[in-house]
Amino acid sequence: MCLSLTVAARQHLRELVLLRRVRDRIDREESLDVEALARGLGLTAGDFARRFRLAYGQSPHGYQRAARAVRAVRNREAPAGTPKVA
Amino acid sequence: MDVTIHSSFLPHNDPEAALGFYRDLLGFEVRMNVKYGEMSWITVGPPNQPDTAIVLTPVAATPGLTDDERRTINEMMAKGTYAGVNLATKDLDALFAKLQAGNAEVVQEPVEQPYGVRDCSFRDPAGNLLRIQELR
Repeated sequence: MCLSLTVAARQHLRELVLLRRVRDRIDREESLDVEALARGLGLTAGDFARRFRLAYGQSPHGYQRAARAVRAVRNREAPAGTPKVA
Repeated sequence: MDVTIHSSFLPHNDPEAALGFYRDLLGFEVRMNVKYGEMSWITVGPPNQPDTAIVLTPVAATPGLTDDERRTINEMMAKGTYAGVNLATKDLDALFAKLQAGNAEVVQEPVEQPYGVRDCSFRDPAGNLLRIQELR
């Protein structure tokens, strides 16, 4: 499976994994420091924001706002003890 | 009618990594491991829940997908937006410590959620999101 992927495709998937870890961090942290997140990946802030948007369809700040809005609705409407979706 | 959930599916892209996580780290038993060429379908489940299983499936490698669909599935798995499962345990802190010590990818440390659940979350090696909530 993975063996049949090209080098470029594997590199692309590895970059997506790194972006996923950043996105998970955005989900769990209150503040959003794009400069710091970019530094962690060895990218400029602009390059990081561009790659994030390519992967997730919106800017890091846009993503954080949208994810918070979804969580707020879920938290309000979910009865205590109900198993949650991600 | 008497229907139970028997098994459900999660994608994997590396059978050894999947076994290292679900069997060695999470403590699930391997109930079946069906191989065909490079592909493996691995049925795992908790020892204390013999009637329910997860089939770890080589989704992106299975026949019937276009190249575009295969690429999209691989990308969504890597991005962490493809699939997940919710688990539960009585001792959340012990399980969290075990997974963290095993270098599992931590998404969220144990927290009290506003909806009355205490949970934590991890990524499995394929990028699936595992939320684990405390039974109380």
